[in-house]
Amino acid sequence: MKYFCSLICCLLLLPVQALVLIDADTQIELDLKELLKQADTEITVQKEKNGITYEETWRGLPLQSLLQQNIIENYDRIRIEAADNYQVRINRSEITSEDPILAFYRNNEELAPDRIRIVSELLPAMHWIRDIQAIRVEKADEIAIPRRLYPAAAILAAKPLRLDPGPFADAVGYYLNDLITGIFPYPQGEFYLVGRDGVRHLLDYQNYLKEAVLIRESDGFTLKSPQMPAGMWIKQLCYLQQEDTSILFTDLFQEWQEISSLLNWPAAMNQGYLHAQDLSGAVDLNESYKDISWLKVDKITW
Amino acid sequence: MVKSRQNHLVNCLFRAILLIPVILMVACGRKGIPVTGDVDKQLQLKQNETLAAFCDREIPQAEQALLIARDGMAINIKRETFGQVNLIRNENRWQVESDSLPDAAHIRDLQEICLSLNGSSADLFLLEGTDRERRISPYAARISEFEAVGVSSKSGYTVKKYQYSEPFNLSLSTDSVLVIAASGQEFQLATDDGKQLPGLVFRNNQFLLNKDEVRVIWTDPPELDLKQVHQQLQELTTSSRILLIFVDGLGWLLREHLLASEQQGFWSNPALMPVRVAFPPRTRNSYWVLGTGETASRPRQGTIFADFQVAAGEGLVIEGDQMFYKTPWQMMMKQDGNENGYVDDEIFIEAHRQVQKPWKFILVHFHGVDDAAHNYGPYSPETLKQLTDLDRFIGELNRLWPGEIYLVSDHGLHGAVDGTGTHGCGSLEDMLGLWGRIK
Repeated sequence: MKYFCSLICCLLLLPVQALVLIDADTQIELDLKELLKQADTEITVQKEKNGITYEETWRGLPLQSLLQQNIIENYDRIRIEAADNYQVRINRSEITSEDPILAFYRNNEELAPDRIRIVSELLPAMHWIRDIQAIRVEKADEIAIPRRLYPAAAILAAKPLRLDPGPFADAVGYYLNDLITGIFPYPQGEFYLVGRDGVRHLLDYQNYLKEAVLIRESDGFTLKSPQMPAGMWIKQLCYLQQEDTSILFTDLFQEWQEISSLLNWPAAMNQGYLHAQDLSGAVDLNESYKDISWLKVDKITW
Repeated sequence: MVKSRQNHLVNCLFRAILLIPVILMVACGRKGIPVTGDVDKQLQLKQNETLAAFCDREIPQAEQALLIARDGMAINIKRETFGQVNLIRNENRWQVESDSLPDAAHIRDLQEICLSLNGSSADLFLLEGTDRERRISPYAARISEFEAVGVSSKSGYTVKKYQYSEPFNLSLSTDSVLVIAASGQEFQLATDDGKQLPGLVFRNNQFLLNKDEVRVIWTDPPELDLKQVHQQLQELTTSSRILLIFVDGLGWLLREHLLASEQQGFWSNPALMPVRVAFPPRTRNSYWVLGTGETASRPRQGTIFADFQVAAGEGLVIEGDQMFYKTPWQMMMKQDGNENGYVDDEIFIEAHRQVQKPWKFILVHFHGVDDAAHNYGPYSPETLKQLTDLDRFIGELNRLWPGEIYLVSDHGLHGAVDGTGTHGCGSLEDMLGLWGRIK
């Protein structure tokens, strides 16, 4: 009897796994048991480990269906948040074309609540987020074309390189604040960050970037932060923007065309105004990019 | 006669009373809009003009502006929008007029123009240990008192609208901090239950703590300061022959930068430690504290090292072409004889001669690092070249001097926006020197 009562108490005290769907001011607590009954969409993926290829079968509920059931139609993307502060965004077009599922089974075995994850054959591994706490519906604020751009090299040339920038040991780099506080005197809100491989994040400064560091690697700087899981760290950070002001790591690009292509800028961005210590004036960035001494450039404006 | 004088006095008083409203009207009419934020001089806008014209003339480095209305509303605009902002005085009120900007920008009773520059001499520095810092400019402090309520765009110009919310406040992470005032005075103070510093306010464009202007709030500061270095030197000279190498401008973070860049030299010596210098971090201030142990006064003239147990004929100071303070000892001042732009080589030649003589105490003050850092930036190849040269000099002096050798510096430098270097603010780069025994 004593053991039975203890078991009941444990069950009552155990945290109940909850998944919340948030649309503006509306929060919908999803019943995982009900969702489990609808987990009938299968995705089979091939994986390789130690040279051996094997298959995994995931079964779950398409995100499209989840949103439709809850009558969420007016959105541009969703943001999926995990318990450890990891987050990932999936655009509407990716949801409809790549058809990711909320997976409850792996190889016919039911997943523990903290193992339920997003699975998609076509989305990169960073999107396979698990231990999901919330799915947040968002309207996209289009990333505006910047009106001013500062070269990171010129900013960092005037800053001290740090040995073991805390909390990271055996590393050399800068604090992110060293890079941005001269340009953004009151850093609040979200920053748009882009890695050289095209990975993009929209990250709130207070929650993700306040303690961030730029660790120097052989191929550029990796943005790391104790405030975010390692899966979100950005290798070869090449661009950073808030509102209409941006910072560019010019040494990661050979030509201006690479930059405008990566950032989807229109042709009008090829013509800018260069503000430099020894020379200022209108410039065709397509033609002049390689010849510009970026260490002497204060900014480019449009 | 008396009655006539009385009538005269009454007449004068009457005229004075009549004139008061006129004087007031003229005074009010001449009253401009105060310009605050990251400006280091008192400014007012007094004539009808665009914000661009005003800034081009008075503050060309201004990058952003917060235009604050009397009712607590404000708009934030960037530099490229300044030309669209017409500041017009209408009777006794100033207003913003513009054909190109959204309606949100049309402020009817403008009270204040707060400008943001890249770097301000009045920034408040929040320092942690020897590694982390945050700087809050007057502009950042002022805008933190407002809450963003919306964004409007028109004709390609964007205006952010704000509403006054609450006075500036600062949350700290510890129970106790070192507060450094602009005067140089230091206070160890406790935070309250909410980890805030009681009495710290942002008022009249200044960070004030009980009427003292605050420049630095330091959590976990290095224990060693120049006063203690003075005391240590005083003790050391009672029993040892000391060569004190004073490297002007070699900040602790410059040392860290060199190590992180895998540049090895005299700065790599693990005996070196960070030392907190006096505020403002300038050579004259640090020299005074180093030479007297006094922190309260900063006289322009005086005698340093007078309390050392080193007789007049036993001590020597080898300086550049500027004598900061007198000493009881012999002083040799060197000029840039070969006109290579630096005096360190001449100082070294003299030091090389003198370390072979039986001096009890020699202070050699090298200036090349500071000069290069000022002209080219603290992390520039030119500064590294001076450090490399100095490394050779110190290596040679090390070989010849039979006694102990100590290294000290007076401050560091930070990079300025024009690519040069400067110092005098409360940043870690400026406020941390170094000290240690290298032989």
